[in-house]
Amino acid sequence: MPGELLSPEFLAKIDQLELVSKKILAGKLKGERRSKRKGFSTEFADHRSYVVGDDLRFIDWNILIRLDRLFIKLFEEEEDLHIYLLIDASRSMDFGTPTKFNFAQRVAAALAYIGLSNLDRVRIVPFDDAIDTSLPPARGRRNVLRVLDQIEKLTPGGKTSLEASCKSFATQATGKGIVVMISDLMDKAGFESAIRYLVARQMDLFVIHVLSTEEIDPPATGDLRLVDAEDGDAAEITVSAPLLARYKKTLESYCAEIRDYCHKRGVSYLFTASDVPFEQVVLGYLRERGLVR
Amino acid sequence: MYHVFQDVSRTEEIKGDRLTLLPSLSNWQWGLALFVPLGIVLLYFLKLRRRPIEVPSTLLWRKSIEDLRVNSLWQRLRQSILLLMQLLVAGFLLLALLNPTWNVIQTGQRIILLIDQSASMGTKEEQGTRLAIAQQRAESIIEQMKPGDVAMVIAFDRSAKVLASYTDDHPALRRGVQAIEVTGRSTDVREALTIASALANPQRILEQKGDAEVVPLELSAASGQEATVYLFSDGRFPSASDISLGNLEVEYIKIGNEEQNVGITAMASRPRLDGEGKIEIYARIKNYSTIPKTVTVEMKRRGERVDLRRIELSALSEQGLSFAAIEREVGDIQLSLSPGDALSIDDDAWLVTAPTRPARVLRIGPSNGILDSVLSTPAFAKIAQVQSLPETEKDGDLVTLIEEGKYDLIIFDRCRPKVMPACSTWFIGAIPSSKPGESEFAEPMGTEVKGPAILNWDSVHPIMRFVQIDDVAIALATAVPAGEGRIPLIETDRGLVMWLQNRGVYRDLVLSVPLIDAQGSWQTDWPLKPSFPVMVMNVLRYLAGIDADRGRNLKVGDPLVIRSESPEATILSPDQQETRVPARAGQIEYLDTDNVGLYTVRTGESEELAAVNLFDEEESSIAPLTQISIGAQAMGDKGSSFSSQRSLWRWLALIGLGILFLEWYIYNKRVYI
Repeated sequence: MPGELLSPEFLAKIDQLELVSKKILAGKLKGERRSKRKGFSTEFADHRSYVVGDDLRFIDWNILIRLDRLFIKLFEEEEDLHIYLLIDASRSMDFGTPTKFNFAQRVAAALAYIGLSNLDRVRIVPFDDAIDTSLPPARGRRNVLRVLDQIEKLTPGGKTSLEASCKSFATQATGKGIVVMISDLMDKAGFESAIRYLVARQMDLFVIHVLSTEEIDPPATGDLRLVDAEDGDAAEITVSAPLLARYKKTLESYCAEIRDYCHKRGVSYLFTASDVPFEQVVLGYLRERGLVR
Repeated sequence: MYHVFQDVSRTEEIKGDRLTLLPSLSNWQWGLALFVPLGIVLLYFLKLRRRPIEVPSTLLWRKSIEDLRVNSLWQRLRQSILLLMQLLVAGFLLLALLNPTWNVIQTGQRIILLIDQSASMGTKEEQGTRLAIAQQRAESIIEQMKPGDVAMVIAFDRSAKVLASYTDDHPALRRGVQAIEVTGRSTDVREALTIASALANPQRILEQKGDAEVVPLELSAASGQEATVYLFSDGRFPSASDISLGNLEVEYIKIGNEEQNVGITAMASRPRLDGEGKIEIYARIKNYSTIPKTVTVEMKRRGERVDLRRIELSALSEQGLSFAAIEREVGDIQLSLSPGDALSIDDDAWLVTAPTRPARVLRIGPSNGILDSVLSTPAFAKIAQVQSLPETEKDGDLVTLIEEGKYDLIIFDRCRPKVMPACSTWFIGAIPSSKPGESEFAEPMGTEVKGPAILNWDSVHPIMRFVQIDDVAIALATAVPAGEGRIPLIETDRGLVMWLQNRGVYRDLVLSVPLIDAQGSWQTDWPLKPSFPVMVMNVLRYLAGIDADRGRNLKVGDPLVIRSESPEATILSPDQQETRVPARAGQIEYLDTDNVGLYTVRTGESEELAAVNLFDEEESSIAPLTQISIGAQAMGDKGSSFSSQRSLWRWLALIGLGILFLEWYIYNKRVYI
């Protein structure tokens, strides 16, 4: 139900928003979207010099008369957009208050709603160590409830394998569009190859990196045995001020590493804590980064 | 192990700054204590059962731990900083138990703590009363006792009391020291030293709990064990130079510094001579200070102010005061000095007055015109009712008469009773039995002498006050030698002819010169001299108690004796403590007059007051003496070595506690170190 993940007030706020792709994209159906690709709509976009083979119907006769040169009128092509919402549904996402997974669900729901409202083709793709392709893509406002229901029914579990998931997504995804990956990126195998696969698909990629407050500022004291929720790996620590300082430093550099890696490849990166209100993330941060308009 | 500690403690002295270890645990306790650090280390390793916590991923933690291991030695040290701190805490506490002390007084194996509890020990010093300071110092000596040392505690004023006999039980010794209270009595160190000296030899100890045990001086010299006596006092006691210390080594520890005191040294009442039945109150105030003092003296009667005086006393001076005449009646009078000073016990004095009444005098014996004419003058009639009985009555119903309290004085004129009456007597021309109650003399006392020449008389004695007898001639008298408890009043070339002897609470005055003989001829011309009626007036005043405060006025520590028919009396002391005292042989004797103030004695229906005052110059003079002499030696104050002595265990324990708090803080707050 939309009420569970998204409040009516919030829906009203995001009703007028749309998802924007920075890349020229082609879709199967002509949608309401003004694409960066020039095409055959009635909306004028630009001129370019005539080359042999161009459709004579698009020659701008007025310019020919004035300048005695041949120019072709370019029209903007309106097209639909593929929006893939990759939600990390591994066990590690089930931590924090609220849980990172819950946060991811809400952000995904908001983006899906915006996409569906703008007649974009939205597909929810949960993943842990592999992607789940069982959820079909949806288009149009009438599918909002169905998609939100799909999102809500997701449950976290399983190990993370970013690389395997992204690889299979990259090979299976059809069309071009926007990929939003919401994950804690906690994969001991690394995040780099995963992003590389996604980038290779020439998609417009957004990475929302979400961590819980407990991970950002651990409250633990004493002698502890930390057990990894996914692989059962145990790390024995004695919590002390230097260790905590070192942890924070490690976390910072890990985030910085991801950010740099993303920026170098034209990927938008957003780091957020799970307790940041997701409305703020959608209306504030994602707007700033140009995902929504 | 025990001996190891013993040796360490005794050889640990560092020259210059002497630091001595006075371990306060016994062997097995040390054994246990040394397990503490070991236990901490064991527990530290045992506690490494870490609490499992599930986290989303150990990815970042692993990286952090690896980073930390880069400089691992210091990091490991930091990780076990809590263990180190716990070991430090244990170390400091163990060190505190070793009780390191700077400049310890080297105590011997046997220690006797003699603590002065007399009135002057109630002087307030900056750190508390002198007694409190003495107790504190005595406790610090107890603290320094090494294992195996034994000590005893003796408190003394004019008598001595053993509060803890030889023991190494520190709490018992401390209890003994703490039980000492200021008594208000005078000081005499002799008895205390005698006891100490006798008890120094354990073979002679006859334990007698609670009460002092007096052992003859001769025994002390025989004692085989050496002992150190620590004498805590202000040194204000009569010199004890004739005492033999034997193998006692006395260390005098002077207590107190205060010297400024003003006190009431005497208080008395006298009837006014105008005969209106009023009395005047006299008092003496002395300034014991080395600086002039101004004090206000307030006189209260039954709690109401009667008179107020402001007097200035120069340094070390005394001043007598007489206050407004007041009615002579039953009641109490209190004098108070203000402002208060270091010694408060002598700032107040009490006097109990009783209504005046003529003295009841009985003369027994053949007719004596001379005496009768003197006693029948108006001046005597005012102060005494004289009744005469012939000689035959002398053994009559005397005992009954006196028991009824009918007479204050009985004059035996040329006769003597078989049983001495229970009142004061005046024998004229006869000599009483020196042993009361004996019916007859085994042999006649004294020798009859003719025409003895007066050599000397005691003009200071109240009976002989204002009496001049250098022109008196005596024809016949019975002379007795001086001594045997006779207080000489008139001495002739042949012996005493007038003397006073005490018989319990009564006094018997003897004038062995018969004024006239059986034939009526005069045996002395004294009745013709002006001094004779003066002497008779003095006798009536002194023996019949006209002048005396009829109220009971005592000094601290004097027994309070009251004649009573009642089987017991309830005595209410100034500190409102009630004591029941049973009567013995018609007398109630109360000995606990250790506090100054008013005591109320209730017997049956009647109630009597008694005043107890200090009136002791030795105690009021509070300036402590820096040197005293006991036995053949003069000894100075050893207290100065006390002041530089510092026990470090408190500091060590405090540091330990501080580290414990720091450890707790670091553990909980994860402070970066």
